[in-house]
Amino acid sequence: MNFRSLGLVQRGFSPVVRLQQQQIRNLVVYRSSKSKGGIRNPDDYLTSGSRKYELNEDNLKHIKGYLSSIESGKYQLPDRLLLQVITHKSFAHGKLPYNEKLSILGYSLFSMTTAKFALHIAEVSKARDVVDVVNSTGFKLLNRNSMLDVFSSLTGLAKVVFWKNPEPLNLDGASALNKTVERNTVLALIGAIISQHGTKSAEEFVINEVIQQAVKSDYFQPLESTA
Amino acid sequence: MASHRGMVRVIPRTSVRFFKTLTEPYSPTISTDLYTQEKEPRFISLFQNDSRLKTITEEEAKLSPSLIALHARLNLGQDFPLATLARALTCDTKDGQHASNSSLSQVGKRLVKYHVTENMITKYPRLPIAVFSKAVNAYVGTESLSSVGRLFGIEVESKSPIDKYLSGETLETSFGKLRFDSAISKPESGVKHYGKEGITEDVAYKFAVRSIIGGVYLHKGESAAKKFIDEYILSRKVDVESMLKFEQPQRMLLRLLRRNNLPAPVSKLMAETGRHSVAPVYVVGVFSGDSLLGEGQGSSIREATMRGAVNALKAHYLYRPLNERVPSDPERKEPLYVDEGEVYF
Repeated sequence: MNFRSLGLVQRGFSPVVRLQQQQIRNLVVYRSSKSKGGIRNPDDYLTSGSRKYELNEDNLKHIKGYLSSIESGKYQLPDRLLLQVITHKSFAHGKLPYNEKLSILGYSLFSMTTAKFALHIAEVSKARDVVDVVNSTGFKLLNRNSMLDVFSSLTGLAKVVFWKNPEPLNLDGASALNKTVERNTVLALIGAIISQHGTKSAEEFVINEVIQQAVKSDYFQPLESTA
Repeated sequence: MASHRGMVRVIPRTSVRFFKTLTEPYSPTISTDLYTQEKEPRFISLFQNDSRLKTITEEEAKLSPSLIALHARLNLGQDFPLATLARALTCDTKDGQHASNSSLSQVGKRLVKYHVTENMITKYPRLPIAVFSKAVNAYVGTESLSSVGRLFGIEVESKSPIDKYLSGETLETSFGKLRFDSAISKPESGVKHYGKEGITEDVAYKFAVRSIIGGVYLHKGESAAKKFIDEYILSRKVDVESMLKFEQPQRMLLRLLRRNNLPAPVSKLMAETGRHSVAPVYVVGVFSGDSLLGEGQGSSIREATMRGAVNALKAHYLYRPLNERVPSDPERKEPLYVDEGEVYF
């Protein structure tokens, strides 16, 4: 609406009045197909696959179950933070709390912990030059993205993420889940543990859970045989 | 030379096992028997990579006066061997005879990145990601770390091997200087040639500073490394406020308030002077309900409104919690506040 075209400005309406008038309007949301200029009903797009975005037990039971199963619930997190952890930036155009900053924090801790862990292993195995472990195969494997993929697939974190599927025709979002979204969720979980339980606990989580899951799986196996 | 000898005496002559002095026990509690040689021998074997390049010995390093001076200037203490400092100043070179600082630099990079990240998130939990990355980069980027290296007083080895031979310098004397293959050559006066191989001086300084941090972690422990980062990296002033720029502040503020279930912003003219003069001044307040979010002044109402919205956004994004203890600080008891993410439109 253009107030100048209505002649309101010329009649001496102050800017305050103009802005207050903008507040008085009815908001209509629509369902079904897109309509130019309309506001979509949030119920239509706040879904990922068949799941509706809500702070409820159904959406969080998987990740809560996993966290309570390890170290007798040492790494448990508040529900609201858990929902943020499993929400990617792509979901709902970033209108809802999402995990980007948590994953940045998680990534910086993850890369520091892998270096410290590798140095620890080199020290334990009495290497001649401890710091040279950074050039070892084991260290390179620890820092590959695929190690986070192993963790997310083994723990089933990939299934619970809220994100926008780039393939809208593929209704089963989980099958086409972008690997980057998966990794970001794992890193965000680490970031959330830092925020709630501190750096030391998060380092323990990385070593005793993330790396341990990869060791238990066949992630290191093919290269172990050639090493 | 006398002072040089005097300084040598301060450092104990006991032989230091190179990089085998992780002084503090590894802080995270690793579950019992998870990664022992007996249980996971093949996994452990993946981490063995003994380089064939020889490392600079402590005895060789002691022959470099500039190295001893740098060691004393940085107050690295007796736990930090001169050999490690010499290695920190040795970058990868084509004809390198000694192990370079690449591994140490990797360790230092990860340590400094984490501590700066956690510090920034603790101090400014609501910064937009682009600004956040820029602010972190202002601490750990090439420009910043290279200036730290210059402040340390690290000298660059600029003499060619033939010049050193002619002046009678030994190889050991150059251990105290930053050694690298420069990507920039000067074939003639006033001409600079940027080659594909080698690194710039700034990058070499960055590697050296990171390596010194890595060395502090290895020989003096994590708390000493954190203290070193606090003193030399985080003590630098970064103007975060100037990094915030908004193209459409009013729309952005509207989206931000809508996401937080707050009333939409309303601009109110609060004061004005000289409306009919050549230099009018208007003061506009941006309100959400009864709360004044920001105030702006300008020579037109539109400008003042926009400034008000920018100030309201700045007040939100530059919020600083009272407790600025980082999560790695054992004395921090309450959870860290991490923002829900910036809004888009």
